[in-house]
Amino acid sequence: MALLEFNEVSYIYPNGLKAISNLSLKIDRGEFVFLIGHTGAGKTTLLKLIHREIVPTEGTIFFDNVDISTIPWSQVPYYRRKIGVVFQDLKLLNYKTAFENVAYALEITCLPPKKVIWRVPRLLKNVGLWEKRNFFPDELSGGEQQRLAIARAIANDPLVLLADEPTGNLDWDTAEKIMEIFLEINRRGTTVIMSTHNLELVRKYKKRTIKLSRGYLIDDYIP
Amino acid sequence: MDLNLDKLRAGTYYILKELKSNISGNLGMALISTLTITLAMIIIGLFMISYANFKRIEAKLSSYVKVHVYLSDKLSQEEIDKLIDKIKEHPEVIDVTFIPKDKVFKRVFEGLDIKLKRKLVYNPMPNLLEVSISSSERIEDVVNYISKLKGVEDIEYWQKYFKALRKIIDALKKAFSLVTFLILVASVFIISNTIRLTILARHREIRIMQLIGAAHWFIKTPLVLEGMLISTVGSLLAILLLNLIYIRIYKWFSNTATLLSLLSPSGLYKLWITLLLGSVVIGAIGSYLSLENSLRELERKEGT
Repeated sequence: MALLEFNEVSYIYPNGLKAISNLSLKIDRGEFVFLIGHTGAGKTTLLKLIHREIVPTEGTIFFDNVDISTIPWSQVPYYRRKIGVVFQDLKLLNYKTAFENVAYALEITCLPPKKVIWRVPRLLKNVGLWEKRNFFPDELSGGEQQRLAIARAIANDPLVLLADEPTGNLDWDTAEKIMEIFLEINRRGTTVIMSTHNLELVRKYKKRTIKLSRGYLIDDYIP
Repeated sequence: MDLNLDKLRAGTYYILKELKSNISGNLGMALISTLTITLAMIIIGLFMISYANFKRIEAKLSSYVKVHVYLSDKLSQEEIDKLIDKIKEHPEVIDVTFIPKDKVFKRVFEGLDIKLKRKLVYNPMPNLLEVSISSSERIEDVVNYISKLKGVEDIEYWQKYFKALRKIIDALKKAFSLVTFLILVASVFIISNTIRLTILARHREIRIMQLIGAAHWFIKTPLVLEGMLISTVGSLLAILLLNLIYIRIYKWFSNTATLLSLLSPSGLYKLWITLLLGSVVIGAIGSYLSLENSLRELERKEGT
């Protein structure tokens, strides 16, 4: 059984824009999936649908055998804890240090402070940011901010990691370093879905690639 | 929701941390709201104190309440006894004393000019029943009841005085209800607005909390606590001020008016507790009202 299953999913924004059209696909546990397509192809909308920020206008999305449209509002936070997200704009808290930003993701799940203090260093070391734990996001480079966002996204051991254009503003070397972190997370069993414009990365790493155009799935390449 | 003791303890700790962060991040607004609530609670408190004191004065006066029932001269002693029994049947009647016409005469004409007394050929005063009743609130009932009885010529009581006092108390009760209602609605609105402003000021952080999986109660609780804290501190300030003012008034009043003494300041503790609990509830309602809508709106607006 697939971890994630889209069945004829469509999504129309309130302004009438059809962002996803009749999309059906399955993603298994432990897969690494690139999501490619031009701007406006529907990549971010697809990630938002998985994250349950929006619900399909038509069709169903099953996550771990649960139709996520039926999850009541009160239970949505618990669903979201199964999904880590690296947002396009990172959504880091600028008045908190790197350590506190990661700790925050654990605190909101009411993890006891002792366990938070034990887990955060491991997460920051995984992304190579332990030395900069007391830095504020503004004091970090673009790549470091990206890594901080990744550390926060994986803090609660999610089943799936969604990354929206995580290498968008980074140079090739930094982008490769970020990719290595994603691959390492994937090797540990987390499903990774990453939207990107960087076709060189896609070509280099040869992973399953889903191509969207104007909301339609036009290619699903499995190497 | 997985709630074990460790998580509960941790949750409480994080919520208090959030509360501190909310208040320090929005201190100006929190202070203004607190002072507004103080003002509102002072107004409600003043009404409550006035009402409680008027009720006390009325209760005190009612202990002096006696209805004078003048009897017909045609009544025999046996009929008078029957009449007394009938009057005693009324539940508000505590006691009935018979005063024969000679004594009534003495009471009325005692101290009058002796010459005038001599000119009176006969005693013009009727027999009198002095009826003690339990509460001035039911005086009209008792008078109505007695006036229908056979052999009653006339009834006299401090009718006008009690009617006036009752009117004041009733008017105060109505004004108190209306003003309290308006102030309560305004207070709920003030708290609700403060919390909405907190949400606006921290919308980015709250949105991040929503996105990374913070439970609704985790987001809401510090905000509800903030509203409750504002109204509690506001009402505590009001209680402190009212108490100080009241003690001064009480001292002044007890030096000047002896008959109608005010409630002692220590006797107002029930009133303060009511005010405090009321404000805690107002804080909770006010903040909760703005929360549900604001958080859903945030989710909807940011999601699309």
